[in-house]
Amino acid sequence: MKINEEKSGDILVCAIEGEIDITTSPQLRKAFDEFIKRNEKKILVEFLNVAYIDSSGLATLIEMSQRLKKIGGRIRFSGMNQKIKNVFEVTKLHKLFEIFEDKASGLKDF
Amino acid sequence: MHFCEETPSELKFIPKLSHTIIDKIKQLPLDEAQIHGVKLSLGEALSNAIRHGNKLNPDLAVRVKVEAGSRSLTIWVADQGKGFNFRNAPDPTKPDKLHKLSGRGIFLIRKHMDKVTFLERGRKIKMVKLFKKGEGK
Repeated sequence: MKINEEKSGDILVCAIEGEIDITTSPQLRKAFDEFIKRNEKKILVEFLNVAYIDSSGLATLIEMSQRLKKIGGRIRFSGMNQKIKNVFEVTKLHKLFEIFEDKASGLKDF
Repeated sequence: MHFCEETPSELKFIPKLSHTIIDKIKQLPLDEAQIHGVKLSLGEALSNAIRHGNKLNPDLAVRVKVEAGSRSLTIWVADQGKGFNFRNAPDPTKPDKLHKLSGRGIFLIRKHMDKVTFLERGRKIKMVKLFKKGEGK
């Protein structure tokens, strides 16, 4: 898994490439730890190149969302393919998160 | 199709084992979404067996058996742990459970496979995916 980051104003765009699973979730958690340390409060996670997410990946995202909320921050997701969208819908986590079709709509009014 | 695989109980072995098994399953009459569902279910079952079943003890093995006939694919994942009470798994989609960090593995398996059975007091899971007419390759 690769994590690329770029700033768009005060928003941190975190683009993930690869699979988010039980072996790569710790790497994602570590990246999020770093973002919080840097006081990033608006994070847009781009799923454009994510082919797979399991329950440990979902847990990492829920945890990150909860930690950001505690410090007055927010997390948004964009660019999910149908398979990833389906995992969020089946688990009803699409109700918990702000999910946008693409990066542009995810950045808008953030 | 009939084959078996085995892995020590270390999480790092899951992606390679999953890839090996899914690669062989790709020749079956399942479409891309169904294969994704099988991969997700297999990953969750392996993770449960290694973490909760064998408690990450590398001296204990997780065994996988795969069988496919003309109508279905069946995968068994067995650990060497003490088993667990699979009847008590709460629904993680209930509003009061949505924020919880755990408890989605078995739920995802049940959602993506057609039949799920726990055997040997929860030490073995049997997952069946039916081939549907007119779908897949």
